[in-house]
Amino acid sequence: MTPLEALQTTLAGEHAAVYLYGVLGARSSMSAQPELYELLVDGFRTHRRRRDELTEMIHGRGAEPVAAEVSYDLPGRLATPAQLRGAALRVERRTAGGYGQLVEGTAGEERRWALVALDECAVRQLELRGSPEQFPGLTH
Amino acid sequence: MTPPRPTSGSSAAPGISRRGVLAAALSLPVLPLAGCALNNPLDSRRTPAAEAIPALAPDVGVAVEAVARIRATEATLTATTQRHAALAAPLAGLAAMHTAHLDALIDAVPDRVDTTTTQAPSTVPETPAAARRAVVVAERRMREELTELALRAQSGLFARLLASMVAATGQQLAVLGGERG
Repeated sequence: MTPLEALQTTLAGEHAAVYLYGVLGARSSMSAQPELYELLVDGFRTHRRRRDELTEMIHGRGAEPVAAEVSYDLPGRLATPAQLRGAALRVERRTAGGYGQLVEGTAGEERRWALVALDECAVRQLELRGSPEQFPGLTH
Repeated sequence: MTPPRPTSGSSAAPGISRRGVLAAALSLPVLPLAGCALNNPLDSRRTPAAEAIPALAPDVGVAVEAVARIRATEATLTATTQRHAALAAPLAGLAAMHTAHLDALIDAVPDRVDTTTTQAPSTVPETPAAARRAVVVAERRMREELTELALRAQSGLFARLLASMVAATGQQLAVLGGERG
């Protein structure tokens, strides 16, 4: 995989993450579950920021960033706070795997950026009640 | 990345296994070390081991450094839990993580390279709270060092393995109380 392909693949993943976090945020309640709502809103903003940064990085290479899909399959039922939290956790695990792949496919400053993003995803998993892993971002 | 499946088009890239990473690391060429009295690469660039490292295949040198850094941090952790038994439980996650990471790296290190640390063990602070803070400082330093090694690695797979270790350490430090640094 070339660095550009790795960036494009990661961007595709961030498009999906932004979409899913948007859905999750819309299905949570700011008044009934303020902590969860804040987590989801923060996750949405973080992934949106990373999506935009990836878009810039790809433009900087003179390429056209991959576009988002019209919609994405939702990961099962999203009715209860536990289901919303679990879905967000799965998004973070997948995204961490994507950033692991980006570390693998890049070098220099792009790799450093991916390292930071992977680290953030790993810690966000804990905020979503995930457990620490020995090798986050390696297998998802 | 393996994004959720779009409702139309787009394929997902497969993830990789740790075994796959290690297989790649192990396939790196290793230059012969005959005549080198290799010891601790942490000491300084003047030691025989440190002088030998640049002569190794680039990522083998990175692996040797990573093992040495983790072992040095592990030694700090062990000394701390021996002095303050009450810290053994809260630091157990870090200890298990170090073991897993060393297991993952050790096969990438040539047999003749001794990565045991010869650094003078740091004095464990008298109070558990101070000792815990000292562990956090050591872990943060190791994280920074592993980050730099991940950036130096020429093998993308090996860089990914090191990056994963950095992230795992970040998780453990977060569990300890938001002291990731």
